[in-house]
Amino acid sequence: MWKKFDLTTTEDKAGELTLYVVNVKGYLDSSTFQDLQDHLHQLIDEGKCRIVVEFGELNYISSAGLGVLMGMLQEARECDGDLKLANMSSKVRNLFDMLGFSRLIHIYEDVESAKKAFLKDDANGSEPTPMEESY
Amino acid sequence: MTREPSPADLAIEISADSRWLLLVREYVNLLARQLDLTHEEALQLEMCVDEACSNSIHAVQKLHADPDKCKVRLELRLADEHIRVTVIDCGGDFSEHFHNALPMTGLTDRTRKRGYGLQIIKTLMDEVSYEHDPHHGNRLHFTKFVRVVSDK
Repeated sequence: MWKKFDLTTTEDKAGELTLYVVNVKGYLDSSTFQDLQDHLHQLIDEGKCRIVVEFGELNYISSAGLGVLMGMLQEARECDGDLKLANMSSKVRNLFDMLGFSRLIHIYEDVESAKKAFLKDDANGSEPTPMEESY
Repeated sequence: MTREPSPADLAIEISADSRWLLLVREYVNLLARQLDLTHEEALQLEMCVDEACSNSIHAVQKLHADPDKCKVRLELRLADEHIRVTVIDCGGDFSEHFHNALPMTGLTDRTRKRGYGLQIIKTLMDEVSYEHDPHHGNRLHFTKFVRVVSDK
C-alpha cells in the first residue's frame, strides 16, 4: 500500500517556553486520524501541552481529523497549554474556513508566528482565548 | 409507484476499508478537473464523497463480521448543471443519525470529537436524502448544483 501519512515531533523553544512542533504529512482522514490522536494524547499525558501542529505537507483533512483537533485542543487547554495550527496549504485552509473551524482554533502563517503567539499568551499571563470567543 | 433511478454515468466499488478513501478522493478530483469545476466545488464534492464513503465503511464494519463480503458502491450521475452522487452499502441503518444531523450553521456544535460527516454533507451539498432497506442496506444521495461552463 502507498504511504500516505507520517508524523514527527520536534522540541522547540520560544523564549523560556518549551514547545512541541508536530509535523503532519500526507492525508488526515478516517484511516489515519487515530495515529494523530494517539500521538497528541501521548504528548499531553506527558505534560507537553504547548503544541504547534505544522500542516505544511498535509494534503487533506476530513471530519475525523477535524474532530481530533477539536478534542485535543480542549485537552491541551485543560493542562494550561494550547494547540495552535501553522503553515496550512490553501486547500486545507479552505476546508477549515468552509466549515467554520477556523473561527474556533488558532491558525498561523508559520511556526514562528505560532511560537510568538505562545510567548504573547505567556507574557499576558492569560489563558488562550476560549474557543467560543476566539473569532 | 417508485421511479427507477437512471443508470449511473460512473461507478466504483471498494471494500469496506478506509484505506481506499484516498483512491476515491483522487477519482473525484480527476472527475472535477475533467468537468472544469471551480476549486471550491471540487473541494466540496471531494469532502462529501469522502465523508459519505467513510460513513458507509463504518456502517458495514459495524454490522458484518467479514466486511470484505459487502462492498461500498459510489455512483455518479452527471448533468449540465448538477452532479448527483449515491453511496450504497449493506451496513446497518443510520436513519436516526441522518435525521439528527443538522447543517453546520452556528458555532456551538463544533466541539465534538466525532460525527461531523453527515452534518458536513448537509452543509455543503444542495440536496441530501437517505433510504434504508432492511434487505438491501443504505443509499445516501446528494446533489451539488454547479456553475455551467459558460458562466465561468
